[in-house]
Amino acid sequence: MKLIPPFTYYKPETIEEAISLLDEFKEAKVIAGGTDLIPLIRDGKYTPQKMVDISFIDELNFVREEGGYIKIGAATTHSDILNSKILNEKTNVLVQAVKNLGSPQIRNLGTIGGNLCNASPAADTAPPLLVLEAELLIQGSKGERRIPVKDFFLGPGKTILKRNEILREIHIPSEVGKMKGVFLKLGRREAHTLSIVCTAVLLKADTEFEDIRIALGAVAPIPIRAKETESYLRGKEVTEKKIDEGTEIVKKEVKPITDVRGTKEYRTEMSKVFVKRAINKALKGEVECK
Amino acid sequence: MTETREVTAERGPFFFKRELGKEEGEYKLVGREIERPDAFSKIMGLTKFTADRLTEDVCFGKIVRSKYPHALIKRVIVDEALQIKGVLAVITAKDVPGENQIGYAIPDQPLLADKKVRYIGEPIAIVVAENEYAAEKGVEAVKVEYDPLPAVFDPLEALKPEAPKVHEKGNVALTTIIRKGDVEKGFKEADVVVENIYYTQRQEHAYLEPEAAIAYPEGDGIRVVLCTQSPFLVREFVSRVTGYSQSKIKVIGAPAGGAFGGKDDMGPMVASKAALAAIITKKPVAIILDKEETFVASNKRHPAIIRYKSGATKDGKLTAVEIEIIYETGAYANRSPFVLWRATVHSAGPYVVPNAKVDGKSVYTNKVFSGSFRGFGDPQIHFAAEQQMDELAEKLGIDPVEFRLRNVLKEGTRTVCNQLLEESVGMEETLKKVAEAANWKKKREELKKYRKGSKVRGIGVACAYHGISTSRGVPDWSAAAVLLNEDGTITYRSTITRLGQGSLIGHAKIVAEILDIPLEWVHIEEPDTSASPNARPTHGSRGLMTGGTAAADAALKLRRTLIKLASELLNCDEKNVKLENGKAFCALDPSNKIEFSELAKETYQRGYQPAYYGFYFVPRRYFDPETGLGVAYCVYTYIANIVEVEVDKETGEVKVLEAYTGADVGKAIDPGLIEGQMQGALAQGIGYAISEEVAFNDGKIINPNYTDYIIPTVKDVPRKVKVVIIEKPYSSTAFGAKGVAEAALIPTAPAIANAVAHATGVRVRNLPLTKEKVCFKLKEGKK
Repeated sequence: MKLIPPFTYYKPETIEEAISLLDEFKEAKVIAGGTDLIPLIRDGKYTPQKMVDISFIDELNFVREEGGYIKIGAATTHSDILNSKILNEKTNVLVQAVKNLGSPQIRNLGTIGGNLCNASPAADTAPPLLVLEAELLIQGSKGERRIPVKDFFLGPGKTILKRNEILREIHIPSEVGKMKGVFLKLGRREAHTLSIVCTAVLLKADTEFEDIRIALGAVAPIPIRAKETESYLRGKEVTEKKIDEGTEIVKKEVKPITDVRGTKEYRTEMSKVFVKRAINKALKGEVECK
Repeated sequence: MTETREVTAERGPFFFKRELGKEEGEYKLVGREIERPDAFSKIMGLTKFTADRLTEDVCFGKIVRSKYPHALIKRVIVDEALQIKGVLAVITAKDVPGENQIGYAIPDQPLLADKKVRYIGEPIAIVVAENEYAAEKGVEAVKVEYDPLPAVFDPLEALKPEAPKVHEKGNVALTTIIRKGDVEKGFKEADVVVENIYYTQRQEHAYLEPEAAIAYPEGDGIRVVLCTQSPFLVREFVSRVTGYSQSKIKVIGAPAGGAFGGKDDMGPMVASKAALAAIITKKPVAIILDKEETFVASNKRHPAIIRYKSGATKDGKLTAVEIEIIYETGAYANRSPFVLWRATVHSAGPYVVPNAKVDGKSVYTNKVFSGSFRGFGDPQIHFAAEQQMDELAEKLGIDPVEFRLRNVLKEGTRTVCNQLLEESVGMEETLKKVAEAANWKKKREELKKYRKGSKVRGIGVACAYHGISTSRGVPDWSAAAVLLNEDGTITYRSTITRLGQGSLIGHAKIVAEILDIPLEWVHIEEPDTSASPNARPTHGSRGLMTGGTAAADAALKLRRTLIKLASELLNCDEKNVKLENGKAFCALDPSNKIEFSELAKETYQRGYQPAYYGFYFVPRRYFDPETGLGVAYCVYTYIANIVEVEVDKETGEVKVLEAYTGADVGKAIDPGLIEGQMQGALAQGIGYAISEEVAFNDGKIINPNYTDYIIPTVKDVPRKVKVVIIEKPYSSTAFGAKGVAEAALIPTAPAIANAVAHATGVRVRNLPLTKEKVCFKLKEGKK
């Protein structure tokens, strides 16, 4: 472990100020909760020189509904998401994911934007946002751009963000509130642990799957949608057999690695088990499984 | 629990009842749960741990560590590091004024590697600087030129003749043996025989507070403050390394933020480096390891490979065991002679086994050294022994609890080492009471209903025993000091240390009970080698049993003085003088009394001795290392655990739903402290059983952090834990107390494995029972 080296710390109060600091200093890096970044520094994997702390920018700290979207400021902490009335009422799949993310201390500091920008394949907030088909509002000095969350991740630790851009807002279409969402996670213990596999399922089903969206984390270089599984199940009758057949396809869609947290084989097996469990859980209370 | 036979020993429960003139029920502190006097400061973060004592003038020492698992050191180039602003010195092996040797029992481990490194993370040099940043830069600037050697990472590989030699004399650090009866005959008499191989993993202590020591040059000597389990052992090693006489070294034992054996081994190593740095630079120097260093370079629980064969007759009596034990000690032997012997003498579990053949080997590899860890060799061997018991029971069609009860050690029986157990043998009662608390019979049947669906339930049992204090013939003693102040308060000194377990609180309760004064009047001083004699280490669950008995010895001496004095002051016969509630009075006329503070003043005024050392020498034992027979320990603590688990057959998740843990502790000085120890040990045992494992890649630890080294959180331990305390007093100690700190951990892993087998029909003989391992094992089992 390394000591945290001395660095210049900036605490902008507006987004413009933050962007201009990033424009001005090439070596500057954005920090919010620091729950991913500080361990990286202590592991010697990143040596900071200038840090721009965006967690005090009011414009980045909110959850509100407007224009057909639930909008979340990127520096909103996990704890604030957990306690958000709007998210709990409209679509709680994201809340479910955040509920077991890290520990209370980490949730009090860590932010949703940070969880996405860190681009861990195991980021727990990514699968819910993938199935919610959220859009990300990215701010640069020359203006803003919107991209679907599925296009955000490029690889482990890599996103499409340019050096002088910041993730500003996350937009979740309000209409998803009509669908039932479930997030499930397998870790090496009950809490405060990284996912071996995590999944989010969003569906609308009566006797058949009218719509279904499935996303997984920690089983590919980036969080993924299980599109083939989805299209197999879409329009199919809701039966145990169909669900079993459909989720078998998940095993071909995931591309996990073997590491200290789990082997490729285990992750592959568990991808199916957890997608299946998530579907069944989402169905429960809505339709009886035939 | 009361003992019926008369004991004439100079200690033990009867002695104390007679000496204090009270029945046990009349004790005010002993046997009663109290609010811990240190609770508030711990909860509020006011307790000063070692690193909290840093002051501006303290310099920092940081350690240059080996990057190779096995290599010759060609050269250590320090010039560049010395150029860094703030760097005061770079200390290498050649700068050690005394002996560059910190091997515990076998002199195989240098303080700073000189010719060769044997594991990744081994200390090579110490950079001392005015601040931590300069020290860190200095460490990066020290260039070590290596000549890499082939390395060996597996103990079975290490035993092959062609294996690279970790040490010149070969890769077997030591061997142990038991030869009792005739095993061939024993197996012939058996109706069932079970033979299996068990594997256990390396466990990290994972204490919150990393190792830390601050050394201050003082006059012509040195003072070292550190988190340690044995201030006197630290003093011995600091003396050896620095060449200072022991009288010039003062060691203060700061409270430790967890120790679990790790700080027993690491204390002397870290303190010696800090002392060396302080002597060379003539400045106070702190060495505080970071968490990664603790993971990479501190001792771990020995991984084990155990081949275990056991036989029993159809009426459920054990006839023989044949056991081969391999304990991987890593790069250095450290405590292995003691760990392996402990495992060997406990290898049959707490049962009568007439015929035994046991062979133990401690094997070197190029990995971080193994050493002391709560249970000290017993968790591994019981993991094997207790699963064997369940398999035998299953083959015989006998209930596992019943099968154990037919074989348990009782008073008058002999251990696998042929030791005659004369007293304080509570295995039978402990197991019965724990089974009763768990509603064993009913649950064992009922849980068979939970066999449908992906989640199934099972219940499992395991017993254990654990010798207290040192093993075999190794002498053991403890000491304490009780000083009566002129205002009637007591200053209590012992070098038993504060690891969170509360031993010293137990000592203070004993002192206060004997003097019959309020506990608040006894002030517990910091352990200090210059202020009281060697109480010996706080390990082997001995802190209360031996240290508390020494405290009692000192307090009794003071009590006798005070009775004599009161007799004189009250003009009352000594036999009629009573000490009660901070007063002395004459039993014939209770109004004829004197306050304790007055008594204290008069002690000085009338020339009575106001301060006493207490000493306790553990009963002598005899042991023959050639046969493994003899008296291995003076007394044993007996333990039984029952756990109910739920196994998710799809994911392999094992969840402990309920746990019942009981121990025969001799006498509970404080049931609350015991419960704390039992619950903590159980949680640590659950981690050992289910999720904890130090993982390596080519000799390099790949999970040296809490992200990937998985200790249980509050959500991973059962909500329902019932602690059962059994008291079969021991006649040699204060009030009959034995030890308990390690107890509950030992049978936790086998109880869980047995419960998993009950739930699924599949047996896992390889720790830990991770989700992935159990998942694939269940798939395999179905085939």
